[in-house]
Amino acid sequence: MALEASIILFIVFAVLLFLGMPIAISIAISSLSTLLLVIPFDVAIFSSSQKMVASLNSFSLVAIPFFVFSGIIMNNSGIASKLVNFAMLFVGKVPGGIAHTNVLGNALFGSMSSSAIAASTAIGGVLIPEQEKAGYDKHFAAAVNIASAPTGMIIPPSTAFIMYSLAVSGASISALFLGGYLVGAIWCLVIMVVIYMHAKKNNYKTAEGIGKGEAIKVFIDALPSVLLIVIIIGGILTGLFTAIEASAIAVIYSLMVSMFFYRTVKVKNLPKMLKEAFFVTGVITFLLATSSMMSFAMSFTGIPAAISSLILGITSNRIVILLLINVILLLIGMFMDVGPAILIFAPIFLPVAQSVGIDPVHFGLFAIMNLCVGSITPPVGTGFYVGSSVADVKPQHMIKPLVPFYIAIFIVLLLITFFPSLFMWLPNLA
Amino acid sequence: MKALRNFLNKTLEVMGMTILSIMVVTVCYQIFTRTVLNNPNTITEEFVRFSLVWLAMISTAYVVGDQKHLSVSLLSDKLTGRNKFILEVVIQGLFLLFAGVVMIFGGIKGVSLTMSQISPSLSIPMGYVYLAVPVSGVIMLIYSILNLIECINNRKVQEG
Amino acid sequence: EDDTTVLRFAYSNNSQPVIDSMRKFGKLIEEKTNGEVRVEYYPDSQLGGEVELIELTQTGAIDFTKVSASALEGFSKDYSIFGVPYIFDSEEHFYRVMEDEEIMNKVYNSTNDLGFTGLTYYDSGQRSFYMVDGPINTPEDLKGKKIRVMQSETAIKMIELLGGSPVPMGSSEVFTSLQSNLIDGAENNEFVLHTAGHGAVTQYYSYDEHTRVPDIIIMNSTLEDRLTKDQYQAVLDAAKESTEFEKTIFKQAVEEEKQKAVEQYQTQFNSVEKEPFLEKVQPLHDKFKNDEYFMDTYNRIRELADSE
Ligand code: NA
Ligand code: NA
Repeated sequence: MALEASIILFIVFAVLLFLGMPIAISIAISSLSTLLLVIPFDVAIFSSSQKMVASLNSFSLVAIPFFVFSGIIMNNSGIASKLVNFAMLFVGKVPGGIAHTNVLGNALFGSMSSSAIAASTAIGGVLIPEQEKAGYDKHFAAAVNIASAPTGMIIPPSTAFIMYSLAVSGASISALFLGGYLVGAIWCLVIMVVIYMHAKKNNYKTAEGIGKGEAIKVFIDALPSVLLIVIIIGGILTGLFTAIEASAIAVIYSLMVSMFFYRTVKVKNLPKMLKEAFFVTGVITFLLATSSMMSFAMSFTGIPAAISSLILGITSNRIVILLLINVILLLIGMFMDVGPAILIFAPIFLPVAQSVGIDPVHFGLFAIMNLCVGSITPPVGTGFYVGSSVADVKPQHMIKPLVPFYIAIFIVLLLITFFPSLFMWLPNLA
Repeated sequence: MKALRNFLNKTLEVMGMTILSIMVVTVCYQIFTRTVLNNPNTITEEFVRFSLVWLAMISTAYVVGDQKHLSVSLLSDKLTGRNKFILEVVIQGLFLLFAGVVMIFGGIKGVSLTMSQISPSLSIPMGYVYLAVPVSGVIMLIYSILNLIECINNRKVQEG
Repeated sequence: EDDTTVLRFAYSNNSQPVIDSMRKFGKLIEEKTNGEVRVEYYPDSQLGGEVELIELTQTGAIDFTKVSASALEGFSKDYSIFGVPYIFDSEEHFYRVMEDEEIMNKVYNSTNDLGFTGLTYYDSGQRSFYMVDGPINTPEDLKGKKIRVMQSETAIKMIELLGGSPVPMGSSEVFTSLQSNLIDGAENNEFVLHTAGHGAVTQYYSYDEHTRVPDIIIMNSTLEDRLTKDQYQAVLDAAKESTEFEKTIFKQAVEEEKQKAVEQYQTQFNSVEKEPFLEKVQPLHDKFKNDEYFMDTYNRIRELADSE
């Protein structure tokens, strides 16, 4: 049964996807075809609509439209340049200072906008030309931007972690968020180490210093937006609100800051931003709703159990199993975007990982980091292509300068996978 | 036809913006009653969840209208002319199928099954929540038909 | 081999004794029918949460599921009477009611029109308060305390009557919320301490024993027509026998769970004088006593009590 079902599911899915059908529709049609193997038509279509409602009828999911909305507000308030100046204050003097600024800028901006694409466009768009002007290699600058853009997807608020928690039903979002701060920070750090070595070797200039008075002005100017990140973690740790409720606070806070502090957003701009949030919600929730149909179809036909006994049949060695899962996820990440990949594959691989003693929060951290890496690799990687076009370089020329960064990121990935104690102390606080 | 599409767009946008705003305010109110008033509200959680089902379902339909649901466009980017036209027709056809079969038929079955099931907090029939599915299905159906007609008209213009 | 009937049993996340008993149920059916009927399992919420599983049983996508009686309240209000605090005087009283055909047949059959029927009950133990900061001895100890409850009208009302502030919340955020003091406590059976790990962030488990909500195994109503008479009888018998099995191993497991909680988290258990709690929740009893729909069932349950 599981074999027939897997063949139908994956072939129908792959063919539709390859033909260019929307991912959500490919998921829905392949799931329905699989379900028809085991239950009558009318029961199958009821179950499908039931799965859509059940997956959406979740308080945790509320955080996605809210964080998306607050990200859009932040985008519209013109904080990109303020964050760039802010980051420059801290790392501008280090060798390769402008590149370091790009990393921090991506992390800060990406964390608020929850979008690696928005970060790499807004921050990289400003800083890559600056790096060129300072004599940095353009492909190196583009690689820095591409390699650091996904950190914002990991640093909370992070829709990727919310989707994971929904997909595996139950991993605490607060714990995932706290782990995300750490993983995101270390990812940034290793990128900066690579930059430092490259900059030393090539004698890159540091950024120009600014006067103390101006530095204070830059700091104060950016502080309210950086505070958003602090407010969320603070709210969770002090018990004022949950990670999910924090999303509503984020909306109100970013509105206040943009309207009253920066004065860049006016009431008349609100409908446009609400409309954009409404639109993005539709894109994400349709994927979420249909993915739940797919995991239902898979469970009903025993696919996850079959895959897990297949893997556990090959080996029972914890290290080999985890490496295997990492490689599979990495390959998946090369072809699929983070969101749909989490929704479809987390429920399949988590049980395997749990059978060798992996905690769901720990699994979420390395699985999502893994898929984020996939978003900056060819052949399918929005981060990779957008990053190349932002820098106006050919994608095929980007692989070589990215290699040192890929290596650095893989080292972190392996550390997270095999040395959870390095990373889990923070989420364990939650 | 343009008018119908515009009307649908506007209606959904207004609904979506309203629901989203109400949800934000409600969650803030939930935090307020618990932390400031020390008297937690017990119905906001369920209210927000049900609103979310409706928001998600109508926004899904709205994105169908814009033809912006995510796809992996390895093949379609390379297609031109007649082949691209066929692909577009097939995509809209699958949306029609999905909207008609899963969302409308499956959704109506869901509504009729859950009309007698009462929600724990607001005490309303769960059928009202399930109703979002067939409603979204009908909108999706109309959008896919509009998209299909537009696609055929464009083809005629190109050939003529 | 070919004319084996395969029945589907899906369940949500459960403690080990309950899982063992559900498996026992299938084994017994297979034995009693000489392998003509076999049960296949879909564990750990794979097919959905409790309400979804009930709906799947309604449509016949699955044949059996086991859910808390409180999840059935939305389908049939008959089940809501089990959530009334202190409706049962003791464990013995609880068993007497659950075995009473006059009461239970009406409850089990109340959903026949919806497509499913109650089959038997499983003991899910008692539910009590467990707290972060200090034990509960009297209702006054709950004053102003934020207590997580399941989204249920009766549960919310109960906390309010006892003087606490009910906070409805999904189960995945309870641990973090206890840790960060967003809530001061919650209520559940002992398995929440070690199995679910909440013992790490709560120090006190106070046996006020406010409710005993049974788990219920339900089946798709068309099963009777799909099986032969003997096979159907085998299902009914297997259900009853698995209940007896479950009652025994559940009690053992509770003791083991308590021991583990003490060893790993130094959880402090205390017993509680129940009379003051019972007095506070009297309005809930009055509500059911005076409701025409529940009157007979309520009185019958109270007739079986120890005290009267
Ligand atoms: Na983020
Ligand atoms: Na990729």
